[in-house]
Amino acid sequence: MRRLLLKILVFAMLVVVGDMAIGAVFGYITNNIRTGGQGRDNYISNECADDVLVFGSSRALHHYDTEVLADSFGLSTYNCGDDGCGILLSYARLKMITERHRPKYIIMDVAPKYDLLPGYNSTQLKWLKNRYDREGIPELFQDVDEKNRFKMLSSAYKYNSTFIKSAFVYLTGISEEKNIRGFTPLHSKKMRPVNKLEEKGEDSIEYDDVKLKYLDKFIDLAKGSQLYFAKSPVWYKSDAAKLREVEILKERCEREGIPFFDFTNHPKYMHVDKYFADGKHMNATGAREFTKDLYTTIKEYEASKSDSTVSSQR
Amino acid sequence: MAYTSFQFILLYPLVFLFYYCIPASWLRMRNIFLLLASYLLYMSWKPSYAVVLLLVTIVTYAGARLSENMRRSRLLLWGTVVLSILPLLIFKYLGFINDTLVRILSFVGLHVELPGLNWAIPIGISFFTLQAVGYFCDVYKKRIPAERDFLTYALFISFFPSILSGPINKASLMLPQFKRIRPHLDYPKCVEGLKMLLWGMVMKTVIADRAGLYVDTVMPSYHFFSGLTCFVASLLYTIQIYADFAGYSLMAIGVGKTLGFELTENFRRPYFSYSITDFWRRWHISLSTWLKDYIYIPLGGNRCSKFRNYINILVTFLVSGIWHGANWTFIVWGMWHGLAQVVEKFTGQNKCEYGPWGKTVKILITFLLVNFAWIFFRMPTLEMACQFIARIFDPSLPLTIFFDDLQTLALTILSLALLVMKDVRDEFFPKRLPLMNSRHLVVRWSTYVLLMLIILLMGAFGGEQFIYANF
Repeated sequence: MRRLLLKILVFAMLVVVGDMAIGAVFGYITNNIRTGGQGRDNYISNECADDVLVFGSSRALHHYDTEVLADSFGLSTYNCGDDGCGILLSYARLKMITERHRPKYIIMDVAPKYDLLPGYNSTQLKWLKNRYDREGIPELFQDVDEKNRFKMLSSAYKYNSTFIKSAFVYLTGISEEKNIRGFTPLHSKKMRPVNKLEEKGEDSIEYDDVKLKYLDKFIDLAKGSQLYFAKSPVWYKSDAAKLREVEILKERCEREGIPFFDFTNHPKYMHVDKYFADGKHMNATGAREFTKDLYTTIKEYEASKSDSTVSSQR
Repeated sequence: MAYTSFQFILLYPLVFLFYYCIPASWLRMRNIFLLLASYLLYMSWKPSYAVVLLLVTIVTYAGARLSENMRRSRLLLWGTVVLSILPLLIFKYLGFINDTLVRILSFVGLHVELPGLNWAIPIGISFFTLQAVGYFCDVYKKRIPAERDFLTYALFISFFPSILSGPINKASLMLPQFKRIRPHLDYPKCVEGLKMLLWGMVMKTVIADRAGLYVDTVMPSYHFFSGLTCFVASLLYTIQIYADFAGYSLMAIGVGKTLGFELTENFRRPYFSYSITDFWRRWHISLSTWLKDYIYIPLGGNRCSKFRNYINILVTFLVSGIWHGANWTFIVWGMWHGLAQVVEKFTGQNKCEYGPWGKTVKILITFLLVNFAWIFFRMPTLEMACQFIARIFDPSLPLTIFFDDLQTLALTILSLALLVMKDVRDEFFPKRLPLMNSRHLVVRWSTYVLLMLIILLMGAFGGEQFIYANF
């Protein structure tokens, strides 16, 4: 028995040494990538000091044209949205940015699936594994799953499934992902076929406590900047139940005095193929058009707000 | 409790250490400890379902004792079998029977609603029921004597390494092991068990769950993908189910070995089979053996007319299909395998006398037949399975293959290469490159450490549940 336990101990030690070596090598490689998705994440986490920031899921990533926003606001802009990500990643990224810089405007694109409803919490942590040493990140991992505390003890695990791409991009500088200040337009010529006209919600809505907790933390963190929530268009028509999914957020926005611009079922976009790459994502044309409309809406809101301020001062 | 779950990783070393703290000569104490551990681990999922496990144990124990003391009675045979499989029928098949009846009645114009049962199926029920029924039949047929010690018998049915998804062990293999004084620690066996545990974990996390990511993207939304993509997804599901189930079985056998037990072998590189008949000698061996011993042979096996033999094969595989799940898809899957074997027998293709190239062609054909059968196994309805297959053969669809990105493709290819290399080596060159069993310490240990690091770097974590745990 003693022999066996001793050998298991030696095995564990060798694994720890190997794990640390892998962690060190891939940590260096990952942090020194300048292009593609990892380069974008490195920029957001370590350098970003832009004044207009966009957060959210793939719908944020593909819908908010940073060139239009930069020209309209006259300020430097960056799109921090990401595929399959929502409020958890958005909070973590905003936290890392606000440690060094306070943006003037923050636009958070809302996707109930990733920001309010249960599910997709672990997937949102994929960009954060190698930021585990940053303030507030371990707490987020543990809120998502207690077991993450143990998983993150491994240095190699931080590069799980990403190591091949990181090594390839670092060595060659070649990356499939091209972006314009974080914005990744979808250049599809034809919309992918859809098999329904309407998106139906559930009769009873259950919210995710972890997501709601980080939604509140995100709102707190954004204080000092002008925060806007927006829901960009989808090709589908959303039924009443689907529309109700964001009610909880709308209530919070009303309470905190945060504007919420909802483009769901917007007649200009709904069922209009030329603006979409698929049922949920706009193409480059749609993104440009929507960003312009959003900016106009923001300006109208600001004007109405300043009007009411002026009238109340009178 | 799944072998890749955190609960298991934390609890198993404790079970191992406590078990070996009990002196080897205290056999009964060791068995009681294993029984308690087995029940506690089973109850960690849903405590109340341990009652079902206990019930099946009591019924078959009592039935076997009675059958030993009484003359052969058909009433006792059928009474015990029906009572033992009753929980399985209620939990697993009541909904299916209800649905089918409602459909038949509505077809003839009667619209009724039958009471259903929306309870979760007790985990491992299909496996421990077969094991218990197999034991009772063996005693009834006087192949083995009835076990008198209830605790030993209860341990045989609930033994934690195999309760979740098998292997379905025979009483003649396990009961003598429980009753024999086991050495304090059988070092070589324990090391062998740990190696099996390690490779099983690689199969599950690196190969099965990686393939599963692609399968779960394509198969439920097959309408959106090209025929070639659907075909690739079906191939990956074929790999996934093998790596998942064989990985689980290896881990179960490995855990058994670390405690000094030998469980039934369950897989022998099934995708190198040259016929469907050969496939069933290599795939889920413990189930095929059970079906052969308790269904096929009692029906007459092959000691009857050819026609009757074909019927026996079809009935056996019909039972196999029904055992896998309460859905017409499983029945079609079972019948597909049954029919293929009948055709093989009829045409003499169940043997391979064609030399290496002919054998290679037969292996490929068998692999494709098995692959298409798995589509029925995976899809939720017959209609969807047929549409999926039709999509694969639709010439109007583009010849493109969907992959998220190059990284996913590279990881999938790497994980598959790992499996192919290991299985090709084990099948065709068993004496070459014995990495984990190398005589050289450095090679052996480097392989262990490398495999562990591969799990950390390439494992697709999150898919802790095993596919066969659903059956």
